[in-house]
Amino acid sequence: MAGGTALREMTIRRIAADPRFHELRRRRRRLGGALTVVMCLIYFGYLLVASLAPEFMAQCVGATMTLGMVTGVAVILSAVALTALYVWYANQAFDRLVDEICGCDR
Amino acid sequence: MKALAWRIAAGLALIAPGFVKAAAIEGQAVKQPLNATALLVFLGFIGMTLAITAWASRRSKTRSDFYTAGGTISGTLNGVAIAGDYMSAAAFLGITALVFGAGFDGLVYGMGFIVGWPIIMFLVAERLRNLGRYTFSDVATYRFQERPIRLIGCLGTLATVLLYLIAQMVGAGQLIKLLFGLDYEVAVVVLGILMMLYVAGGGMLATTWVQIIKAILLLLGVTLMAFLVLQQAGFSLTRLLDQAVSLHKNGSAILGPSALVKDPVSAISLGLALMFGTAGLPHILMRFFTVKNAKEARKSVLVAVSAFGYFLMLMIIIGYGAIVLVGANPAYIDGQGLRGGGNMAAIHLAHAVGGDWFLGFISAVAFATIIAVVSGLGLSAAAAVSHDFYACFLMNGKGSEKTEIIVSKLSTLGLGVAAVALGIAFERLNVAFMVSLAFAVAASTNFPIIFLSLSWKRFTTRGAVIGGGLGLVSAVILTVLGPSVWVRVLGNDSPIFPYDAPALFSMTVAFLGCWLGSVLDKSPTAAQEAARYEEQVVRAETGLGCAAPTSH
Repeated sequence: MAGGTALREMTIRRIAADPRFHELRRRRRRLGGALTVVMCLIYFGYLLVASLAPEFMAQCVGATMTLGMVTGVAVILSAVALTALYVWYANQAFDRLVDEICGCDR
Repeated sequence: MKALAWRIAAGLALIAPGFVKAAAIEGQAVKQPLNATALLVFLGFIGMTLAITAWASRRSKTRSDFYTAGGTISGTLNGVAIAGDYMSAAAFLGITALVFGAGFDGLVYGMGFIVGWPIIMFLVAERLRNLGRYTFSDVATYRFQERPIRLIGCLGTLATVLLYLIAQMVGAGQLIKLLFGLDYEVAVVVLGILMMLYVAGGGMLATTWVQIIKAILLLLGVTLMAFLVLQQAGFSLTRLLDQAVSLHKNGSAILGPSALVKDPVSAISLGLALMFGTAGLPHILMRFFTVKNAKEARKSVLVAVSAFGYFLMLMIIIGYGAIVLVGANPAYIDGQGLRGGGNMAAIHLAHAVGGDWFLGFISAVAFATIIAVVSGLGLSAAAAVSHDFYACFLMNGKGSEKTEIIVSKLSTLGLGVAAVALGIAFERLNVAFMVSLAFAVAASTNFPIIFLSLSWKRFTTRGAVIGGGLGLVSAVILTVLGPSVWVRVLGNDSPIFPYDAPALFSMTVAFLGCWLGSVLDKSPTAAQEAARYEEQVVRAETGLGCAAPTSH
């Protein structure tokens, strides 16, 4: 491991100075942060409404369904959908940026 | 009578505390007669998985093979294995039981187990993969002092895993007794031995395949069950719910919130533990080291969250189906409620829709589910002992790889023995609080350390030790002083701490401790740690150096 240390440090310093690297970092942080906030709002919002206004959640929509059940299933689906959104975006943008930044050093 | 009630409650160990009342837990822990199909499917599962273990043991030579299957698992397969690791008997039998007992609350409880997955994706998975090798402590030791971080990481892992493991062993022993007519002790010993064989024999490769096979079996089983339930209702969800409302003693109340989310503080506190605890479960995080890069890690999360979401949807259908087909059928009810206890709802439903053959199949799948989860837990605890504690803390990274592998196998055997002993010791205790405590500890110790070391430059070793330590201690103390232990286990009249779920408070304490410990740390090491942040970020973002087969 010791042999490549100097080379590795150079590579790291080069990448750290690369504006594309900061672009990658900013985009990942922004997307991950924003989607985390969205997921928390959906889930904790749901829990708050269910605990503070149970009658609201128990009201009927359609024949037998209640609002709480329909939105509850939507919360589960939103967890899958938000994950899929992140993966789709990351596959499109992040991997390409990483390849550009690292080139053959990777 | 009290002892009997405790026994049954222990069978419900897989359900979080405070909600056991919601599930119909009345009933007797009677042994069931042996079912031939159950035995056949179960022996088939054991035979197949042991053959795989023998195959895997020939391929597991190095430390990296043992802990991470050499990083050779594909993203899709790893995703299925993660789903197998995560879809415990808790989810299968517990959520069905909750829906059966209280309807809607089962949906809210089940939801908590999926919302942590996006968080793992957004905040942890890619960078964890890029920085770590075998355990999540690798990530924090990247720039922090090795020994204190290894110690707190090992403690956090062991606390989480042992609590989870005890709950699984006790719940499993009770269930197996009910399902197969085995004695409790025999059931627990069989579980312990199988876990030791898989993990010590075939390491991560065998554990992965045990989980994949179990995930496929379980998904097939519940798909067929949900299909048969819907068939009975003429493939109309409305009709199924209509029938459930007309047959359940609570009537249309089963379509709205009841006991589970009665006050906002408890609901949020439990929600925080489930959401961020998932992102701090050592046996789940460890699975991300089995794939080769960040892209495969992403694919793993997507496959796992999709499989689990599908599974949850079916659980809801199955739970309401149980109300109609089991709750209203006198054959499954005795003087005290559901025959065999509330956790049997899914099992009885299998019989109601598919007869003895399907009952046997689902019983065997339930056993396989428990074994797979216990194996994943055993492997991550063994890695914490042999890698974090032995190799990095005791030997300071100077021991040989060969000894570390031997220590990890010995730890697996030790854990197996400990799991059996604890399972038998806790048989008569109400261990329902242990699963939620495991999630609370993971959310208050492991998660803050991982998350802050990845994303906060000024975070220091001192902050991690103080914050992680406070999180661990406060989660345990608040749980002991809360209703689930202080009242239901220790028999006191009223709790000192009013809430079942401590995470809202213990996570706050943990993050405050991390923050204060770090900003007050003016030592030269703190400055060095901040200086190394840049390099850590480069590696975490790009995966630079992670593909190289190095040892550290």
